[in-house]
Amino acid sequence: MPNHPFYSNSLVECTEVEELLNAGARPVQIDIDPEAYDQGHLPGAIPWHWETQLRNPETQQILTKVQFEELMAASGIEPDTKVLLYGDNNNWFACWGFWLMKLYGHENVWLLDGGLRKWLSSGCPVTDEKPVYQQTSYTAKECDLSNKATTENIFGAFFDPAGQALIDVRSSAEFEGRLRSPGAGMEAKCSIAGHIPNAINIPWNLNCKADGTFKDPDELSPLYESFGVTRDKSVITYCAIGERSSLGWFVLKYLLDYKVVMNYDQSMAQWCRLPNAPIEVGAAA
Amino acid sequence: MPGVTTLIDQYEEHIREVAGWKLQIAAYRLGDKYVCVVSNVDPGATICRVCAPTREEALRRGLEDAGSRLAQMEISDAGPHKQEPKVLTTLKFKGSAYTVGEFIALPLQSRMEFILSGELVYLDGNGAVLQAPDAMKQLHHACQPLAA
Repeated sequence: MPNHPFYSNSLVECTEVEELLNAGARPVQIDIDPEAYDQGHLPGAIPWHWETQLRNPETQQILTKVQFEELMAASGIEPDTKVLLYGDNNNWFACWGFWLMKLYGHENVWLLDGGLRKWLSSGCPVTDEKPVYQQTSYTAKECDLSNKATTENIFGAFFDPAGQALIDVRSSAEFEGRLRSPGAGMEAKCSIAGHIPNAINIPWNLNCKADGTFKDPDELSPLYESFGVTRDKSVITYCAIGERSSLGWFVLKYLLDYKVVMNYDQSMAQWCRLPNAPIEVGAAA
Repeated sequence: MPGVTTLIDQYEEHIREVAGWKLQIAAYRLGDKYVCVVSNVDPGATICRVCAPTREEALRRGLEDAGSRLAQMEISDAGPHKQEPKVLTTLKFKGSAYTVGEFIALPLQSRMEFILSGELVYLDGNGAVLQAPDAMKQLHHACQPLAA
């Protein structure tokens, strides 16, 4: 584990999982492809499907407090249960889960560094057994909206470049408007290609090493500062549908300890639907 | 983790370029079958997951499946962004005209409403209309603190 105090609060390596599980942690695999779970998962892990369980199916926004409580209760999770999140797609959707749990005040939540890929490539144990946990009763805290950006926050950042930064964490091809979604089969429902004017493009994968684990804060900090995203600024991250921006949010908030970081979870999927919302194509100036 | 059956072994990853895409291909044995997971290195999304009785078959089908899915993902050439030479001087909204400074001084909610209304017109000193992205760039620039 990198010698950094923030890691122990939010991120665990594969070698630390057993200790966490022995302490009663509940592993949860978050994906958009249910087959990933069926093809081997952490012992004791339950699956959450991002599209059908972690978003409000009617509004395509975050779960309501009641929906969140129902999910936790059905998953056998209580407010003090330790939860270990991980997933496929480089932890994109697991990061959304982490963000969502923090919104509703669940304190004891960790992310497995490198996600499912790192777990498998490290030869760690997997099973195909699907555990059943007893239903619990879960009362969430009120939603902490300080971590969630709205359209008004986006405009606020636009008109306050000295105090705020808006980061687009998609690939440069998506940012420039040359590509509309990151992968076939996971179209982001963005009807218009391009980015929010004057956003800074810091692709999510610049946060990660080749094996999918996060870079050390000593590497990440100069990366963000080189783009002018300094600690004194409040920062908003966005992407296409809010999952990769959750990863950027996680890095800034939990690995780099930036004080004000918001995830624009509706991201370009919403921005594109706003009538007359300005959209820019091409590389950043 | 006692009592756990380790189902997966022979995990291997490699990078391969297919149809202009750099792909990360992972294959492993899962019990009595083999799994192949194909992702694009950039943007980094999982493209497909396939199972087959042998590693070779899983890899072949994974690449085939990825190839057909990637064919649907067209990367177009957006071309270099062309900055219009026009300089934003006036913003007009429903009969009212604002200088850049006046517009920036409006309440944020008003600025947001004007922009999203589609009725805000961006003009240069000669009355020529600027496109919204170019005008927005100049508005943003006008909000930058002056260098000391």
